[in-house]
Amino acid sequence: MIYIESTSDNPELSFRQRWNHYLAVVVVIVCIIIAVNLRDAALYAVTSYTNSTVGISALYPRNWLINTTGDYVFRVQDMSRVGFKTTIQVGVQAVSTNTSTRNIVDALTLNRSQTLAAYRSLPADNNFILPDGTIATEVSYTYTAINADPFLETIPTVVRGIDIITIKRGQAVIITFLTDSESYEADYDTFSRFLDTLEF
Amino acid sequence: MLLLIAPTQLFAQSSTIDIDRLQRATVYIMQTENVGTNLLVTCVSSGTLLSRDGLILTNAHSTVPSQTCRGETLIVAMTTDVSEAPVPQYRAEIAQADIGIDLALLRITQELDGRLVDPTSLSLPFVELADSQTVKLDETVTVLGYPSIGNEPISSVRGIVTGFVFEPRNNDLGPAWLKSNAEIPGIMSGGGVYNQQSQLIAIPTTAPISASSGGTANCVAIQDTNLDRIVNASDYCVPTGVFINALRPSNFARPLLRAASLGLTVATSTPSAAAISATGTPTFKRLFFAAAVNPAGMPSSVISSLPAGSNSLYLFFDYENMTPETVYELRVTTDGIPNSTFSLSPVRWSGGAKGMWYIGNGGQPWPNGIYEFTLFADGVASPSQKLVIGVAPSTEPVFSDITFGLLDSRGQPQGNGFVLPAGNIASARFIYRNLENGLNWTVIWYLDGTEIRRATDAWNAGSSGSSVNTSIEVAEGLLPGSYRLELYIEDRLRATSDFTIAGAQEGALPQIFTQLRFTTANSDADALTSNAVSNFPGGVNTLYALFDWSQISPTTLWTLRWFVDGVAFYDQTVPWNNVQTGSNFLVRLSAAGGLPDGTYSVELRVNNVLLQKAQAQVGIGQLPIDRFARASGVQLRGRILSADTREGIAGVTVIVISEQFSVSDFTWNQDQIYDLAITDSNGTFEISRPLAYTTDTLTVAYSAIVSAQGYLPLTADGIEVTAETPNPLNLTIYLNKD
Amino acid sequence: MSSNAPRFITPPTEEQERFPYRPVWRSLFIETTILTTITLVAFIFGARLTSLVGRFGPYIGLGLAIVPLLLWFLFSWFAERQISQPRKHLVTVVFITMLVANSIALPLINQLFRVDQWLPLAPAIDRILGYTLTVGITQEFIKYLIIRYTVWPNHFRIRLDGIAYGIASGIGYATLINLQFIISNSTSPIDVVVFRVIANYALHISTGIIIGYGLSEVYFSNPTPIFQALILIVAAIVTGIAIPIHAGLVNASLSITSISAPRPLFGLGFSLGLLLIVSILTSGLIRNADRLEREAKSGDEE
Repeated sequence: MIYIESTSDNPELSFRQRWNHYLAVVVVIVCIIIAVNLRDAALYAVTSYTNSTVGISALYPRNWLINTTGDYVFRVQDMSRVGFKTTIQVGVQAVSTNTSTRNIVDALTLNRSQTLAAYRSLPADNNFILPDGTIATEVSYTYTAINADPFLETIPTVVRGIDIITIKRGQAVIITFLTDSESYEADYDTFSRFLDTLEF
Repeated sequence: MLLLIAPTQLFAQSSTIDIDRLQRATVYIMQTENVGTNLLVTCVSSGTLLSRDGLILTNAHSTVPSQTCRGETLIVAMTTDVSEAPVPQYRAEIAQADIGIDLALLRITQELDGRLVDPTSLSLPFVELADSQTVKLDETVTVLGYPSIGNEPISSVRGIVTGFVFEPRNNDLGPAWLKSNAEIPGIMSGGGVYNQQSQLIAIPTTAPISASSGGTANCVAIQDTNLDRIVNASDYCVPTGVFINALRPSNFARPLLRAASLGLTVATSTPSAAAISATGTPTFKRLFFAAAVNPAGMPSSVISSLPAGSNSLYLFFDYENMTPETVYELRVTTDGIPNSTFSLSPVRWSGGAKGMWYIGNGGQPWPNGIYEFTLFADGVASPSQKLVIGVAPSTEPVFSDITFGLLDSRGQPQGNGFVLPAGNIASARFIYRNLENGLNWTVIWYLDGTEIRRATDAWNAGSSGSSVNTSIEVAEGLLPGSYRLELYIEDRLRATSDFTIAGAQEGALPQIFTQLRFTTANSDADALTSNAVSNFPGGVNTLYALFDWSQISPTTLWTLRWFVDGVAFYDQTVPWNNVQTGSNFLVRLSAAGGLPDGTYSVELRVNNVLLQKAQAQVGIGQLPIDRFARASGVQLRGRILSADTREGIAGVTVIVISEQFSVSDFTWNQDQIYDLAITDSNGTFEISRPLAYTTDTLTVAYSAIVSAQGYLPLTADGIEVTAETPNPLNLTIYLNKD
Repeated sequence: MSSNAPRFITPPTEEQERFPYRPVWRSLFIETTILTTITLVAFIFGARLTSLVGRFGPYIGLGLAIVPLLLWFLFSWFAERQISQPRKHLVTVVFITMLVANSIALPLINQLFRVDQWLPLAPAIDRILGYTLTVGITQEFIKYLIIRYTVWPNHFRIRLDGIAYGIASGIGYATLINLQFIISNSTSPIDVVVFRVIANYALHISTGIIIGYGLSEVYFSNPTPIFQALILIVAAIVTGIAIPIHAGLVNASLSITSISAPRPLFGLGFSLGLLLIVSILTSGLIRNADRLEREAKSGDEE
């Protein structure tokens, strides 16, 4: 037996069939919006830090490792990052009435050039306006990060960093951001959000 | 998905010595000299890491710049693969050194390319010091070091402790040398000798003799230092030394380690000691033997033979023109055959320029035979001395145990025995045995090596006793200085002892040092007029100790010791080089980052007799606890691989959480972390801080997190290691993606 | 005529007279069985195979990635050519799905949702919700749109057509994912590749079946307007649950007593179980719907 098919182009869709499609699209859009919000909630989740002794508070990304025992007020690092661990650090330094931010910048440069491999200062817009309107000095630089463990074979990483330096209430506040140079642009948003919450 | 596992305990093969950790902690040190843009190797040695932030213990002769080793830059090479030669990694500087005892502590300060190193960023494997006084005869030891000039990988040699050598040093530290039958090449000098608990008990030490001194030189030329395109005898040669049989006990390193780890520096702003410099050829003379020494380091008696079964013997001798760079050696033969057990291989001189010294062996039996002892100074032999062991107990007349003091009203000598105050008369008391009345006996008194009184008389005190006194009286007063008494019977030396006269008289005791006190000030000049203080605030940078002194002659050996929390960190015995009487002798104790909290004390001694002691407290009066001080435990290592490719993942973080917290308690705070590691390009990680053992009485359970972006994290609680756990513990961990 | 080129007109078999369409479930069963067999062989001899192939490993991997597609061509598309009422545009669905997935779905998932950055590290519930609303919704909506606008409703003659087209779309999506895995991990051992291939195959076939069923029901049963949306959500939830569960079953636990190695057999069992359950449930629903329709028609005729 031979079968002959006859199909018509564009059969008429019923009301329900059309609205099945429309509602499906609406649901998908809603789900995507919810998904983006979930993403933001996860990626941009923060934890608060407050140091009343030096008068600094900030919100830093959740699940970043915080360290308060070094020669800084606090330092947070993204330990889940594969490769160089993106770092945000806030330090304070005693200054005198004659100390300018340039002095602090020079001191940082001299110290870092002695301890960081292939340290180079980069040209940058020297003025940086903090979210609270304070005018700070921005310094940009790169260096090569090497694992200190001599028993491991680690390929050095080119790190790009910036320091935001301002003098306030008799102390210099130095905000440092360090990340792998290849992901600097993408990671800078994290630093921007951190700066928005930093108060001192 | 986060997974938790139940507490685990491993039961694997047991291990005694932690050879892997010890190998990694043993470094190869190259002293180098800058010639243009090149670094030329001038001396090499082995060394041992004593702290995770880079303190290295090694010999001073191969690291401190000298005539033999003239370089100024120290390069530290480490074993990254035990089957390969060490790889240069760091530069180091000398933190502490004692040229005489031939130990130095280096501190890693720079990367190989010259960048400064932050010591807190270093997590190097290190070893712990044992109390070398607990070492026993026949104890098994393992020696680690590098056997050649950088060509070969690290080597280990096993042996047993065959003897103990005693010299006039701080008796609290124990024997001056350990002896071992392990065959230790000369370049392993500076390495480590370990007990079965992987603790450092000694440092193999030998000093090469430079060819310029006329002795035999052991060195090899490895570089074209004169740029004539040929490497031959015209080029600088690197000293290699001879086979080592002398091990410097680790207790001698403790003061240096304490000072270096705390950053303490002691300086005397008042001139106190002239640099010990040789004005002539080093010589040894007046060799004689004693069976024992007293606490002041004086021979009990002079002997010419020993009965069978004797287990201690001391060779005494006078020395002149010795410096800390002089290399001395003792060769002993038994019936004409070299006896390495009782010999001492070439080592640096740790005494003064002039005086009396002894080398003794104790705690082990001396086989019968005719012994000949020959001393060498810079490779040149001195006249030797012989002794017979195995004769019948002697019945010869004997004088012994001379002590000194001032006679009281009952005619009994009073005082501390070997340091007398200045005055007109000095008396000596001694024990006698086997004498006969009528024997001629002679008393000779010396001042600074010059005979000042001699008397010969017939003996009339009976055959044995302990109350014979002999005195020297000088109407003009006995001058401050170093005195000697020799007692002869029938022109044969039977007993001798040295004593010192110094200080004003207070009863029978000398008042040499007085007004010992502490103060703090902004400068040395201000310290002279500051009030005495015994409690100082925490973080003070400088502490001053001051004292007055009375009637000390030049060249009188005096000892200055500093302690913190009861542990010595400074111990120097030097000749007095100041006016005889004065005030405000100033000693400065400083630390760059501020003196650590602790209880600091100062001791002043002469002839090892404690004359003055004082104590001061800084901060809470107790040193802070170093939580990284423990070297023993299980080393955790491994590889992290991708489950998709089975290749290593670089940059993965492995976190070991402190035993007080679980994974669910972890709030990503550094204070909760025991240690962490990041994988290298092969996916290899190492937790540098050893995991503590769980024992029957103490459970130590860690938690761990392995985390990397894009991969599912792995977690575990209840991680325990026991003595049966393989060490190092190598893990292979696969990370999955969704 | 149902074919483009002239061919011999042969009498249909008795079975073909009763049921002139390719039996979808039988084809699926055959393909799955063969793929499972290949997976198990590769697992057992994986290490030896990997060492044998040496530097040709990436090419072998590429071949393995398209094995499901080849099996589909052999047992579905080619079988379709042998019957009297073949389904049209199956290949079109496959390749359009591949193209759209590559150009839209993957960039959306990787660059907008950035699932790699937060979902693996999230708690369990967040992972299910996250994968449902990101990967799940995106993937299933892509499949839905492609089937909806290429073959629906013109080429839907019976309910099983939806299943066939859903499987075709799933095959396309799975093939693209597998190819992407091989290209990103060219050094993966053979035994790792085969487990990844079958896992992607099972997941996308399962959700493709669900999507296809939904489209069939909308056409043939004229259900409530929210039906398709619910189907999409169900398919997305299946994805959202399957990914974390599969990962959790496969993922090693951290242990210091042994190597923390993956457990691929658990993942294989889960994938096959998922496919089986979805197939049985969908088959049952379709049979039930067909029966209801026949009963309704016979009732009308009476």
